Amino acid sequence: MRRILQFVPSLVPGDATGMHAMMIGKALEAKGIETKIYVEEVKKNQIAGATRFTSYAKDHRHDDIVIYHLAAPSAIADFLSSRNETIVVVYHNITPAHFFEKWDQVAATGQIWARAQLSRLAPRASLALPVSKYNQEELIELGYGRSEVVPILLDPSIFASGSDSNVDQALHENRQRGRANFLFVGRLVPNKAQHNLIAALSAYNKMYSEDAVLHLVGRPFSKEYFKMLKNVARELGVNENVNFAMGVSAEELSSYYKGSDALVCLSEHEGFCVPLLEAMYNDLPIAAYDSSAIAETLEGAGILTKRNDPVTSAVAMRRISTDEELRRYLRHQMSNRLEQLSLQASRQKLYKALAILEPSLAEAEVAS
Amino acid sequence: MSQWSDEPKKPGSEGEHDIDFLNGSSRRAESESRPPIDSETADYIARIEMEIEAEVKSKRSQGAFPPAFERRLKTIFEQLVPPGAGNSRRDFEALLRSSDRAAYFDIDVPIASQKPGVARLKKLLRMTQAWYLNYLAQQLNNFSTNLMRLLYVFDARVTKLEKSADSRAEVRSGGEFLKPCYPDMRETDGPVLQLMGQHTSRVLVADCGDGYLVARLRESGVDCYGIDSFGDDLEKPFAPHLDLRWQELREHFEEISNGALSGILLQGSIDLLPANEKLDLATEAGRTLCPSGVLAVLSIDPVFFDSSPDLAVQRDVAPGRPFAAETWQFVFSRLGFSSISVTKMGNSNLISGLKQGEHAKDSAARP
Repeated sequence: MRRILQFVPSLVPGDATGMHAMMIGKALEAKGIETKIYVEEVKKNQIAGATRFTSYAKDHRHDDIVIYHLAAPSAIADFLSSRNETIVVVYHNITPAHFFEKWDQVAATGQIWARAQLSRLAPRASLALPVSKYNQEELIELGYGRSEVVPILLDPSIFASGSDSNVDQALHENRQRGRANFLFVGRLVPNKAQHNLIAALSAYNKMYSEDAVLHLVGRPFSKEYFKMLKNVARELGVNENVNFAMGVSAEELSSYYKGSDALVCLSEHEGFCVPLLEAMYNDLPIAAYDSSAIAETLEGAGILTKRNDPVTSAVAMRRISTDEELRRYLRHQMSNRLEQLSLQASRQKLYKALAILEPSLAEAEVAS
Repeated sequence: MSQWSDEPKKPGSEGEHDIDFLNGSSRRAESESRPPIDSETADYIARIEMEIEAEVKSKRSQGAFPPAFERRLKTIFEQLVPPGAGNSRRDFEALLRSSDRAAYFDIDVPIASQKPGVARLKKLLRMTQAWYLNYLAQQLNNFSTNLMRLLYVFDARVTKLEKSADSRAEVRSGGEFLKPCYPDMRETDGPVLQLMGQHTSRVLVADCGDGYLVARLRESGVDCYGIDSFGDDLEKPFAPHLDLRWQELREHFEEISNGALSGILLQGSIDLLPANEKLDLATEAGRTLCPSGVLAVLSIDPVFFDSSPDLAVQRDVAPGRPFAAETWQFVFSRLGFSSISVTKMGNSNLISGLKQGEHAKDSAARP
């Protein structure tokens, strides 16, 4: 049996790329495949078990299959493309540089670099595993040959760890006072357009004479953008209604999902959008702006708006948070969609895709 | 009809557009792939989305998103991006100032330290290396000072050039004088209403002024909105609850998806734009129209423009002059429009054409 080794830029809690790698690792282990995770940067809060990628030069075997998770620029891409092992690229998506240009020129350049790396890996990759069809189309354009969509492997047990009583209470108190709780989870980054969410909240509160609260769960990408978000909230008079929840624990995250009225996503660029899947696991109705891979991930399990203006978003927020029939229907749809995106289903897709390179996975699949 | 049952739709394809004052609008190409979902779900979701759309229109018509709020939002976002990050004059000046501040290399290295004796050691090192570092720093400072000076001079020259080439400023100042040359719509709006009134989905009236035409079209059941780059008229609308927006036409087109509109009326300032800008706007209009959508241009007759004694100043200062009806017909034809017609309206011509089917969209090339 060939070893299947994974390379990720980092492996820290809450990072979708790292979590996907972890779950792939577990899936491979379950089939008796020898596997290991290498990282570019060993961080303080890193999940145990990963080693720095340069050590692979000593550990390698000529018949190794290496899975590289590409979502950001990394020295790993150049390291792997100069080697002879079989390469599989898991493509999580690269945010277009223009989203960063106003905020962080280094980050913008980094995205361009990452795209160049993605392009350079095309002739070297034996297989690509994009997390969505949206990403797959991009890979095809870049000249990737064989590719199979394997959605994000999300472990639902992360939400079984319990909840946080403080968050539960805060959300409950809001509801008691007739204040709706809207949630968005994701890094505070321009392409996720939290500024539009704040504008939508302002329109919502004005149009419906409400005092709703927006919970933005996620760490800031840059001080400047974070500062801007706070200023936008202040200028629009909703600074008391926007809760920036940074560095939340698994329990707190679980509470936000379970206690909110709706997940609202106005993101303008997503390769998959893991929070949508997380919301589905938590039965939380979703309203989203129809951009990039959002419709594909939802596939009918949420309301999509075609326009990204505050009034449209506010009307959708109102509808999703008050229409009980719609909420029931969406919950039913979410449960259907989760069958397709369940950990088990995505694992099977992974096995099937990798069986092209390691046939024992196909046998194991039959046995399982 | 299900939103999934036909060709995949793009954001805004219900005849609307995205408004993101911060990230711009480069998202048109996104959201290309649409997954299949069962027809029952599709129908239900489509119904909900239509109801949301209807409520949005109702809220808008009640003044939920008036030009003043739109303008305020835009101003807030523009003001709050980091200095130097935007494209405005203010951003450029902020960047120039911060570059100027950073262009001085200081060899007076701080030597303070909390560890005993280290400050003295640092001072000693600084003294012993000063002759060397000073020599380097002087050269670097000479270079950076000259470079900054060069940038300031360059800025002054470019600013002068921009000012002389800024056609929009001339159009703004000249546009007001042109108003009397166009037919008074309050008396002769028939041809325009006839052209646009047959569309129930989204129709754009450019340079809408106080929104008279928008109001008339809405009365005829057309889902119509207007834009104008002058804020003054917008703040005194012809009728309450009109969807009027404060925006430049070019900027507005950038935010509209392909095929999102079913009718467009171009008028006013387009007449004074240079030929290439007229063609660009017409091309953009063609892109944003759906098949069978109608494009109309209300343009001053160039014979009148060239001979009217009242327009002497505009003739001299405007960067462009109105196209002849024949020229517009040629442009429409090259853009793939059919049923092109010209209607004489006082001293103006109303040129119109129908956008052909999907195949025409791809073949439509800028003349």
